[in-house]
Amino acid sequence: MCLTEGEDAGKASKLFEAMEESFEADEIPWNNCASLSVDNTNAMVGKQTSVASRFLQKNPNIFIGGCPCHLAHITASHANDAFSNAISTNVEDVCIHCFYWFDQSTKRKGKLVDHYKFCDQDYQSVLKHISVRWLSLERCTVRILKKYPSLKAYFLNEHFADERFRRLNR
Amino acid sequence: MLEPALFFSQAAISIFTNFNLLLQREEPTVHILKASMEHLGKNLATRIIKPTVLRGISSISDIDLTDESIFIEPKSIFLGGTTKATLNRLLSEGDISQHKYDSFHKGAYLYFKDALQYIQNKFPIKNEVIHNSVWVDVEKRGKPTWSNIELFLLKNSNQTCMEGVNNDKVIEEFVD
Repeated sequence: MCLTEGEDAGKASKLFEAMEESFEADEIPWNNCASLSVDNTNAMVGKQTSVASRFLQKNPNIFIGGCPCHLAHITASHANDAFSNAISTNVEDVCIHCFYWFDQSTKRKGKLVDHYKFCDQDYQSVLKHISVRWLSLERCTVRILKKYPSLKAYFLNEHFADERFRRLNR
Repeated sequence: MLEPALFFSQAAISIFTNFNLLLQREEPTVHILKASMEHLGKNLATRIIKPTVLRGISSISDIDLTDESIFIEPKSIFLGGTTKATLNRLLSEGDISQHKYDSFHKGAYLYFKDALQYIQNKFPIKNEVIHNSVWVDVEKRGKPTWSNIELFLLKNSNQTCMEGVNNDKVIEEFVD
């Protein structure tokens, strides 16, 4: 499995060492290695001293395949930044703030339930958007849009001096 | 501006989600990667680039994004039916100004342009292995040329499994 542990477990040298040991233990010649498919971190596919560069030193014909899904995620993130700067509203920030506004407060959730009832909607919690989880933004935006009337009513009717609340209330 | 921004994000992100879902599977996908990347790029390009320009290009890497004349005017960009309707409602009800309405269109334009730019710069669209691996797809075995196969024979000629392989026989099998 080439698992590594310890403080340097994520370093390219340590990862490559574990892989090389595995190659040697199974008597796999480097010539037989056709491709390496990894994620796109510097430790993996960086031009110098990465796992990929070490593989290429062993066999220059190896095809290094980065992760296209990861690239799509970063593309969407870049595009969202450009859009947000132009309209001065960041959907990603709204999703994050909205989740944390209700996350740890039973009182706020209770108030939100009242607004759900008022708007004749069933209660569903705000989903957590994690920026490193591929495209979780879509699910979060869908949930917020679904509950938009209740959430809008909540933020228009409540009053807090909190910075997070002011951002959501804009 | 939040409501139309949410609608726009929802519609725009689904373009990327489709790409991701297509490639997240157990089976190898290297043979569909090139076409998928091109499809994703073209899907984004159709939102901001004039159809007459797109008709003349074979790959999204051929699009010159520095040429401003190829772009559709920001106000004419297709934002999605719900987004546009929400934006128009907010404008007619006076909730947003004409300036904000225009900024939204400009933002949408930048969204697609930046995404396209990133794809051109970072995606392995011109990678020769990905380009030539179309022959892996059994359904498209009739389409590849010998050069698609030759690359893999040359690249992997040192492998143990390739010892004693006669290229002439491989050509014969390919032609058959």
